[in-house]
Amino acid sequence: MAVLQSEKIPVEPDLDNASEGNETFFIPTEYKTYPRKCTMKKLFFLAAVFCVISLQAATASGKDENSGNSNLVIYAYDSFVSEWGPGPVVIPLFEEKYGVKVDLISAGDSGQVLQKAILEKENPKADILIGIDNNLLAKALEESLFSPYKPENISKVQKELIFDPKYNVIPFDYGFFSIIYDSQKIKNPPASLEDLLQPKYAKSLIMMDPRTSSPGLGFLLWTIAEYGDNFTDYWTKLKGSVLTITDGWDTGYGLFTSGEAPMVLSYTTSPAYHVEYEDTTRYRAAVFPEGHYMQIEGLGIVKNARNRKLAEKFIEFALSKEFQNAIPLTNWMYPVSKEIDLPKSFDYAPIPEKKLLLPSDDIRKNINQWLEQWTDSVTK
Amino acid sequence: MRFLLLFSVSTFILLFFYIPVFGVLKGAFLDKSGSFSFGTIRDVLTTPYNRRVILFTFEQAVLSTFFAVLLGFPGAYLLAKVNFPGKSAVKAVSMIPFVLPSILVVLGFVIFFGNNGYLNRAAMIILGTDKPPFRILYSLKAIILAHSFYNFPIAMRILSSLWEKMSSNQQNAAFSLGADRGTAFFTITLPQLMPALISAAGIIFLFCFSSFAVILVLGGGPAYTTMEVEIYRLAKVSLNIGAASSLAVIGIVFSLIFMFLTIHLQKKTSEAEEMTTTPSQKGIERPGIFTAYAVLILFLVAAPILSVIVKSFQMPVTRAGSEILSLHWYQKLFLGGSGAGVAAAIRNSIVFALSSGVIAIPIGTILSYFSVKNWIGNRTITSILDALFMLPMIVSSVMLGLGYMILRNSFSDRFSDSGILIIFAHSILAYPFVIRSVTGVLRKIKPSLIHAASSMGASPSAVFLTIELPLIKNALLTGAAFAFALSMGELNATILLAGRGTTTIPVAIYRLIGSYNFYGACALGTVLIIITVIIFILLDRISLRKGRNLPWG
Repeated sequence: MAVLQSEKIPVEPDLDNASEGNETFFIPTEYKTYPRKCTMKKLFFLAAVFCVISLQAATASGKDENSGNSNLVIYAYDSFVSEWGPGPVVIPLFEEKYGVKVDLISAGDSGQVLQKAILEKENPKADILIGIDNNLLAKALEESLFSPYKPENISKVQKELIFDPKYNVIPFDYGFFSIIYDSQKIKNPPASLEDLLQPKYAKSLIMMDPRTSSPGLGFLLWTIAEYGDNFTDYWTKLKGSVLTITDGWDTGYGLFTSGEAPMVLSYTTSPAYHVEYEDTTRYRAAVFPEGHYMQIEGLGIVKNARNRKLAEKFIEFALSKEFQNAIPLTNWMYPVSKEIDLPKSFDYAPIPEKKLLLPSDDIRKNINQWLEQWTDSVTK
Repeated sequence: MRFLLLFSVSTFILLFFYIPVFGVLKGAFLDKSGSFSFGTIRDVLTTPYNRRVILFTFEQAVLSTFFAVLLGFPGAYLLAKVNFPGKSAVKAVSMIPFVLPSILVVLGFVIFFGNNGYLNRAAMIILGTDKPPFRILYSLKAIILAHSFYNFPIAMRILSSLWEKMSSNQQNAAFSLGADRGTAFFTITLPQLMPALISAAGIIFLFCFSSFAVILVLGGGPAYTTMEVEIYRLAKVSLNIGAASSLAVIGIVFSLIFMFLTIHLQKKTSEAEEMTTTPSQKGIERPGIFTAYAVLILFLVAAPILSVIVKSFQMPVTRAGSEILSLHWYQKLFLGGSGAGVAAAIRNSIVFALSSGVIAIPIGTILSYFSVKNWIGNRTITSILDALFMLPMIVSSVMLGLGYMILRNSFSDRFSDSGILIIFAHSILAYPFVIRSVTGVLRKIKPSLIHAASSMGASPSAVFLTIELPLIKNALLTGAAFAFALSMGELNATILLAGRGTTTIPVAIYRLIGSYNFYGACALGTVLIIITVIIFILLDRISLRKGRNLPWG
């Protein structure tokens, strides 16, 4: 920088002196030649070039949005669609089987999938929504977003998982929230929600915000299922053990695996992931005999969908062995179908004996108040 | 001609600034039935959580401002009164907050100060413990540290420019009357510095008040949430546009109040002081303190940024953490499966930045001419319009993004997904900087110069091309560089607008941080650092030589 600054550029007009000098005005020597139209031309040319470039870039990036109507359009949450999710595995299978094209569109997390569909309710663009779980069900029904379809394959599904008896939303997988711990740092894992309050776990737990993440919401409902109206007392006490509350699961789990804290909120299936891909049993799920809160994920056909028939085929497909087999190792949830043998790594993904679940209706009625009470108790 | 220019520029600003802002106002003041009501704002204000968010926004901004000014003070003294080697480099460093994207600051902080960051890992080895000794992240401390680092150069720059010109007569008089250094400082120097102090504190406070990336990533959780972050959460995640709009309106009201307060206080304190044009400068007096300060600054400024670069070339061999040098992350970014997204982000960022520069430059220039040349011939109306044109500087970019989000539903998907909205938002955010940069120079051009040319028969366009354009060229380039830098680093509005095909580098970095791919984030961060350094050198060449033409302060 020093070199640059001392560099003298001879034609630089000195404006400070120009304004201080009395009546003398100066004409910078370099500009005496007169006139130089090419400057203007150059400017126009440059401007035109940039406009063309940006317009092109703009249209290029916008164009994949509007493909024809004949494709089956599915909205799903990000991780379903992502490189490692079930999308890239199951969608080509379906396309091949029926000789059709599927537009699998990620619309954020499952809450955002629902919101997007609600916004488009009058003129639906999607045929199917994937990711409506037991917590979102009531809201989806309230908006009457779906039109019911009872699949033939429903007989393959474990009875207690059919969370919408009217078949607006069909379950395709389920899981349990759980505290995952680093066994190198914690020898005696907590065995209950109450255990988490112990002073030895000060600043040891990474949580997620229930307003923005489904594990976060799941854990909040877990505490409500267990403590009822007194759940805020629990959260007030839990604050001491929490290192941070992240917006999304990704961030929180990443913090955990890179060693920022020895415990994190996740799913009972998380240890299976580490066994499968990293061949380590270092990360384990803390099993709470008092029960684990449950998440059932479903999919449904949008009311007035443009491709109703194809959508019905997709629902059947979602309960088929092909689709269900892909679930454990891509979505890291348990398949709903009774036909599936779980992979070996799922030995480390214990299915809790006691399952906790709040009625979908209660959640819809109270959720805003609960969230308010929650934010209040963690920020006090 | 000039009215055509003014008309098209005002139309653009009306369409892409005032209408989106109006959309936010509508969201805040219209209830479900569409009639005017304070209901939403009242609801937002009566929720204890929101009140705490507002309070916390103030708390962190006040603390951050205090520490940033404190940290900048010694530097300002050194720049103003002491001669030392590398001074020009230090002056150049004070440009950092204006070109360095905040997401890079955040990234550097996590990597350097995190529980598993370089600082803690080094300390853990030295102290032989397995618990990180410096628990800085996920707290108010992290926010304040990052804000102070990011903003102290502003304090340094503004304070030193006044300090330099202050004569030491009064101080010497005080000394001869027996005052010690402390008394002299507090009774003479500090009051004299007051106008600069207020202006620095005002700017830094506003920056921290509307800070976004730092809070979003470094704060952690609802307890450390500010209004901007809550607006983002409400708008993008909860899709509660009414509450988001209300909070945005409350935010802008506060911002406006601070602006006026700052200006008022400044006027009150800036009495005519004795100024000198021949600054007296000494050599380094206490090398110990000087070195300590220099090391501290270097540590704060350089360490996080260098960490980003270092980390981008590392690859963990095991999860345990031992790392080897590798180009793995660059290969993955540019060649790997997800690479397409990153390459597109880089391309998008460059296209957006160039396009918004191309739009902002003529707008800023035309509006400078409008103001300086008094196009409409009425000073009062001109100054009112001036203020209206400068408003985008005060409106927070999250609010602008929110306005665009509300607006986008009325466009076709093709248009709103195309990135044009992002380009327009960036142009709106950038053009006031062009105005400030150009206006300063334009005012200094002597009218006689132009009269002479006209009387010799030069047409207005010839006058512009041969006299004015060459004179304002540097100011234009400075403005262009700022517009480019601003667009390159903009996260707040972009994150609300970016869709699948329109991810930019900062948004991609934020997402990589979000999925905790810090190595990837660092590799992309290094790309952004390189681009930023190029802009920086460019700016340095154009305008920093003489320390003027800067579009703020």
